[in-house]
Amino acid sequence: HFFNLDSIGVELKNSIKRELHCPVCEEMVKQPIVLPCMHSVCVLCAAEVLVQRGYPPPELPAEPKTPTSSPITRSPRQTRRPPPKTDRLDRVIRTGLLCGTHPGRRRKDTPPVIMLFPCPTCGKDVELGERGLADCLRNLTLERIVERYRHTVSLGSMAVMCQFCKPPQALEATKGCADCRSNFCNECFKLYHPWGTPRAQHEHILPTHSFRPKVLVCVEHEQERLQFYCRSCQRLLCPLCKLRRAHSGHKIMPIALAYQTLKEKITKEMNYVFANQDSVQAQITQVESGIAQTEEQLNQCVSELRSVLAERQGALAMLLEGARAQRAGALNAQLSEKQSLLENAGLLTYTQELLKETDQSCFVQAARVTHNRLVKAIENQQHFSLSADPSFRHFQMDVSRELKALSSMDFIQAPLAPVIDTQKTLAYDQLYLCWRLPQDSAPAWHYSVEYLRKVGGAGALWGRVLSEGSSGSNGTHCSWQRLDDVGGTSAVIDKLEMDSVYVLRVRGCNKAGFGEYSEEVYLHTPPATVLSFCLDSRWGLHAERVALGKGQTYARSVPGMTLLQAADRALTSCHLTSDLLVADVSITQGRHYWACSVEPGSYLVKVGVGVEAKLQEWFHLPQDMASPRYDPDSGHDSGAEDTQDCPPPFCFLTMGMGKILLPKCGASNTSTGPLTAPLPPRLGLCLDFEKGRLTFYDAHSLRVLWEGTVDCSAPVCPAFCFIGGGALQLQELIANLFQHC
Amino acid sequence: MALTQVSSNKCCDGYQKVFEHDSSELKCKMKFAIYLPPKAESSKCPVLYWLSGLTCTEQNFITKAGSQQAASEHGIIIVAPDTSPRGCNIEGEDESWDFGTGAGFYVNATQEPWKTNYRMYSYVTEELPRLINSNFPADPEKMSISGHSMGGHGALICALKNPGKYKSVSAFAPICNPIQCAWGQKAFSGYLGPDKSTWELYDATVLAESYSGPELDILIDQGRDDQFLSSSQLLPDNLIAACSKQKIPVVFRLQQGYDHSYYFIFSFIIDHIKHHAKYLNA
Repeated sequence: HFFNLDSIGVELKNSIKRELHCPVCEEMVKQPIVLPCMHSVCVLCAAEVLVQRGYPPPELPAEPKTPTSSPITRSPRQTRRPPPKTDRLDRVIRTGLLCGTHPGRRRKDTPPVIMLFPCPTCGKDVELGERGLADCLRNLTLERIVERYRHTVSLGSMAVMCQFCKPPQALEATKGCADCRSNFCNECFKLYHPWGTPRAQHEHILPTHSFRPKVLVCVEHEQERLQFYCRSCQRLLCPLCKLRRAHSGHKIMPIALAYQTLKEKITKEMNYVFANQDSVQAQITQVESGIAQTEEQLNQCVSELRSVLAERQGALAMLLEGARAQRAGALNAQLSEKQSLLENAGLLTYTQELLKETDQSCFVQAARVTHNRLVKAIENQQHFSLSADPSFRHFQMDVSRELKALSSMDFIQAPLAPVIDTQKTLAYDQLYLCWRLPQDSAPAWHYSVEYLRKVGGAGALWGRVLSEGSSGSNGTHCSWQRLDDVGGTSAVIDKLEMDSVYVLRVRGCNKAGFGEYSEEVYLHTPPATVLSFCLDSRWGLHAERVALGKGQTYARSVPGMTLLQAADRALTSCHLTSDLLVADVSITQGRHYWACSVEPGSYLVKVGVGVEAKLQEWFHLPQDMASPRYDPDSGHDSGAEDTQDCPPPFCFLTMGMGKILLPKCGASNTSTGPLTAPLPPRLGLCLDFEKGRLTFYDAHSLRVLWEGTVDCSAPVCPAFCFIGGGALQLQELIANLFQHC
Repeated sequence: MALTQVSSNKCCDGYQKVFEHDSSELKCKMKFAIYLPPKAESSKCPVLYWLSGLTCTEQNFITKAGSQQAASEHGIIIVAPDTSPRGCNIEGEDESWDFGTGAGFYVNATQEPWKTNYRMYSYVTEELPRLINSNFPADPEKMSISGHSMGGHGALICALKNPGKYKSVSAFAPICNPIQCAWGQKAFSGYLGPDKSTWELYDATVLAESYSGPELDILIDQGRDDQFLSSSQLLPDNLIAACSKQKIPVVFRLQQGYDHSYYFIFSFIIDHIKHHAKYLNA
């Protein structure tokens, strides 16, 4: 992976060129300096920019005495740098852009101008120090890289000669020595740097004409080498700089440590970039090999099909052959039989001749025998039938089904999005999710259910919202929780939080991977912990009229034999009683929730709670429905008995005709008539004992239907009333219904 | 410091040379052998210092160990100094083969009459590297050290006493715990005096117990049939125990059938040079 300057391709050459370009002149940097913002520019370009800005021509760092300074020793390859254009300078001075100074003043009198250099690379104005550009260090490393790059590019145009070979056989130089500042061929180098002498440790570099001093010296203390690095200022320091106040308390480390650290960091970073490139390459290779493999599989499948087809063809052909042989055999046999029949022709000719016999006694004698023979022949002929079926009705082929199967042969598809069964899916003490795959979907091996509790509580969303696609991402801050490897087509999610909205979705998985998600379903969890109970028969039952079933969670109100008989006798009116059913638990504290389903065809059903003692009273003395007390039109003040200041010892909602009657909260009667709500498939109730409040909900959307108050000074039981025929199913705990782990 | 070349032979495309110089630490003329691989002609190479054992000179290693081929392949300079100062005319220096001449033990002696000349520790860790770095194309940052028997002891203590100076260390049948063995007790009492606490400064096992520094990867080869192993002169188990406690990685290979001679070194020198090359050429 080595990007060696010596062995580098065209695109890389261009890429490196960009690294080596001066942003001002857009050519390769010449004598670059490092600005305080860490970017490099040619020193002369920097001077020009400052002049254009209006500063006095800056003091440039002194050029060291090198072979290139004098025109004689400069390589013909390097063109002489044109001097800064003086007409530009004059223009600038004339327009008076120079602030505060004009050419007459002596340098000493002017206060040092703090110059702001507009760095073209970062676009910011960087503040140069007191000595301006001279404060900026030369970027020797960049110079060296440019040098090496130039060398590889222009090799051959002008070779560097060894300076020590004795003429006439002067050889081309293969190395330069930075310490000797000369160029050598291999032999001369060895001669002049013998092992065992101090010259042996000189540094080899590529042959070059410009032997710049190879060390950076401090800008302020020209004799001092930069041996330290200040981490806080990110500057190189010499031993004298280090002692300055400017760097007191700063993190200063020896240059060797900074060298090591930075080298390690850069190497790591470079390796990381390489590794990334490598990994992309590896992924491409993976895709290629994956395609090849899959293609191979496809071909294998098809060749398998072909061989099976060939096999079937062979087998069926053999069957045909067998049948053909058998029938041909039979027919041939018949044919030979027929041949024998032809013998009759002889007999007939004889008979014809016989008939010509006129002598009656001779005729009779001969005809007697002939008659027998003819009878036999006729018999044979009558019983003849083909012994083989010429029709090949049993050998027809109908390949329409196979053709259909073959033409729909396809890569295994992932299962389609499952369809959630919204009737069976519900939220109670746990979430129960039920679904099925569309008919034309590929089968799924197992499913993955995801659920997410949406913050915001049940009240935030009401009504069931079916969203297209995955809009679950907006607004959710938590991630989906997963139930993996769900066999079957239903799942139970326990450990719920009450009074929340859960979003659920499911997708199937088979060999081809995961299929699409189903649409999301929103389930509202109950506002309080679920109360589980059964319908109680401890006070005795109206056994005649109420039948309990299904573990005493189901009740049906029937007329009963007595009423049946009574109705038989009566024709005009019938006494209907209100039959009370009470739960086998009573609530003494806290908030509890339960749900039930009232059969829509029920006549009259009341659902609610009542103080246990009071209910017991009523049970034994059922209130008369026909009493004028309860008739709102009777003129009696039916509301007067129920005083508003103390809550009643019961709270019920009455439903019938598929509707619920919602009692008015205030005394005012509106002209629109009584308020009803459609009876939901499941009805939820939540009792807050401490607050004495009973809330009725649509159990699916948890939309509040009605809220009432009840006297909770004593234990309170859930209760139900049947008036007339009806049925009621208590919602059982999902934990009990589905014994999932 | 002027170096005089004593001999030069081309070997495995490189050069096996011997130089002589005036040593400022040892105050006498010292010879050392240096192998320069072919790579040294074009760039700086890392250096492996080899310390020889009792009775050896700079010649034994370069003629008997067969290290030049591997050094040439891996581009490593191998420097093999002498084992003690020579020609100093100290009384008693030639009395025993395990004390005095040829038995410097790589310590800086503090007792008379040895303390003026017998400063092999400073010679090996300071003077010699300085000399090599300024007169040969050596990479001053890349040094490793190795040795045999007493030289193994020298290599281990130089590495343990100078954390970070040597990139790797290895040894053949080294004297691991000199203060517990007869050789060490004789040499240390002679060079360092009766105070045993001064001896601990030059004992690899003691130094390992308190070593803290960059991770040191130690390779030790020991012949199973080595007579000095069975006579409790080498005591490698003590060093291994100390290293395990301090979590210093040590690879200790007990080689079946091998003894203490240079034939043993010859057999495994390539493995050791490879071990060093891993770190020197990294």
